[in-house]
Amino acid sequence: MHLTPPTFIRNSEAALADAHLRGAIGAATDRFAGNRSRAVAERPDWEALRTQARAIKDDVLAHLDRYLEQFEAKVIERGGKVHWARDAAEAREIIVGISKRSVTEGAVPAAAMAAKSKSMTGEEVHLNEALAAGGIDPVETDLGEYIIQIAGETPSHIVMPAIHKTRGDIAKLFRDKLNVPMPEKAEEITALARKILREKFVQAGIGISGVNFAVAATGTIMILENEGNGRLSTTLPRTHIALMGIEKIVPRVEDLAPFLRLLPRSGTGQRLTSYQSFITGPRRADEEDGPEAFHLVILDNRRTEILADPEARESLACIRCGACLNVCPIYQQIGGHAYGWVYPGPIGAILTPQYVGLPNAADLPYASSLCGACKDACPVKIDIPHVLLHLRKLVKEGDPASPAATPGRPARPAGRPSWAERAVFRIWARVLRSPRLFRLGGWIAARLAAPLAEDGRIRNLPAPFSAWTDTRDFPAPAKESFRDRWYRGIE
Amino acid sequence: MILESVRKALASRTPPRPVRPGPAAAGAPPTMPADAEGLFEMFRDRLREVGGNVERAADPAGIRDAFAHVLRTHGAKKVWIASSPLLDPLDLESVCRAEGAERSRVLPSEKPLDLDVSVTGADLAVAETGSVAHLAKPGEGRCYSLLATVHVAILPLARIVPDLDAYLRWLAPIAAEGNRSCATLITGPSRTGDIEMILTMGVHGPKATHVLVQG
Repeated sequence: MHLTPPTFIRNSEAALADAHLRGAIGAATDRFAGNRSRAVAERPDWEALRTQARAIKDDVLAHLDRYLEQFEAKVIERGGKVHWARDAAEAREIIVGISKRSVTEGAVPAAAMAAKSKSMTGEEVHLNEALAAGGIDPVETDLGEYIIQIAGETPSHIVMPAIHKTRGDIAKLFRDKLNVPMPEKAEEITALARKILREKFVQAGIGISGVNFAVAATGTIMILENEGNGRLSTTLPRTHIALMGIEKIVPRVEDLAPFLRLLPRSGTGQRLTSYQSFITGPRRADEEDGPEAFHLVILDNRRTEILADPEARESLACIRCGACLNVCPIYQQIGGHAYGWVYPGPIGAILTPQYVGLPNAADLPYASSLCGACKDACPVKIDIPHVLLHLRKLVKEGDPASPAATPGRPARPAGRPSWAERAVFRIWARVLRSPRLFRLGGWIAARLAAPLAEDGRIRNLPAPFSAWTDTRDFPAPAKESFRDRWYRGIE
Repeated sequence: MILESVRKALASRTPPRPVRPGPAAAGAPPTMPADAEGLFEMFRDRLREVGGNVERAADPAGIRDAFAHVLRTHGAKKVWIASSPLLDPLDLESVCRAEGAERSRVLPSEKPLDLDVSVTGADLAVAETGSVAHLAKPGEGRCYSLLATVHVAILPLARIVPDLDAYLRWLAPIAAEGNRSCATLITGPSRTGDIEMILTMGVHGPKATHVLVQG
């Protein structure tokens, strides 16, 4: 898997040139955003739900140590095992270790295959390569993830990983990689995947899942899905490994209510997804199925650093719904791959720099017009524009002590603003403070701009202003300012 | 140790930025029906909206008829039926025989991939969402409601509760007691939109679901 946050600008240029991709992403995000609006309209108490959910998350984050301790104790009490992973490498080591041991233990040897249900955290730690290297065959079972696994690609959307592929793409892919006659309709493709993957579920000795929410009071994890692969990978294999970030906690079972109403509507415009599994430990002695071993891996991977930053802490409230992607004018044009890593769109623009280090993803906080659509759509009211501005400030300051910096790597060259930028802003501030200078400045700007404008837009300015016009057009100043027209007497 | 990092992170003197109040939280939660009839209607309508089937019968004979209809509709040959105080009196096995289907006694350990129909009880049904709740227990493993091509859930009318809060209030003491490993909330058939957003049923779970309500 090729991670490319440092080349965001190149990636987005390539994406903009890809008409097919733009069509697919545009259609999908339109549909999602529309479905979301309809589903939200059904709840007159939508704003109250958002407030309630955010309050729960704020409380959890403010007392995260206590809740994590409570959660761990309960999981262990119920027969599960808890492992703590400081970073991606540790998470991989732990999960591969558990998998290898589970294959050799037990009266009957289990197949060295892991049935994986969708987990963004699993992608974050690059689990599949490590499993394969450890002799465990990882099989993605979510249909979209299975499709891109066969294609050797990465997901382009949090909820719909294969959204960039047409039905024709997928049909050809199946024919070429699975050696089957080319399926035609979506139904046929699905039936084929169902048949192939059922065999894998039955053989796999290990099931690996994510966790949508983890209840501290009871040690229960909740997994939401539509397809049923989450249920299958946590029911049939002998060993279940669940991977979660520290921020997935909610205090009590009852606290799940607002999230159950917010997440499906925000993500796919559904009232509720087809299945929610509420799992508390491995199968009990008198139960007939379910895993014999339940392992929970709790991951930090710089989340504690985000927690420590009062301006960025709310990033951890994210419930991975994908609503911000669907309403983002940037994401709608370029899709998920351009963001270069696991989390795309607005949430990716704030999470990726904080997880991989700001110097490695310094362009991402700028991948925004700050329109605020994401903030309005977010079910837990994350003020994404605010966090973006905060991260931009950190980029400018090149602050090596910031949570988003990587130790040992120099900050991006644009540490201190250039002399030109400082000069322009000093002049700008001076002009804005004086009505006379402002009128004079406007008059000068209109005269200067006239030769530079094409069709009422300024597309090219000489250096250093070209830093702006390389990626933006300015509207040309009007011949006569509104103020002058007003005093002249507008008809 | 991660907990140490968490404690250090929380020890910062600056409190996190408060959430700006958004649009006035104007609306109240939707009102739920107060009576069993109203709850049934909401449950039936909402489950049908997502492609599930709902039938109601006043007595066991009516449930047996409805079940026979399900078997005929799907041409079922291999049927698994849970054994429980709720289902045993209905003698659904005889309905199977009458419809030319065989009652399978397959165990979860045999990984039954070829069941046409599975029948379980439902511990609760949720009117708000058209969902049925199933707690895995002896005699009713997790896998049956998932592996069969068609899942049938049977429950008495009185088990329909208004909303998700009621479901979670039911679940909380069970989870706290810790004697059961898995409760599942099921809302209609298995589905995906992963291929060009074309809605397809029966990806990994059942292609069709039938809820038979007695009462």
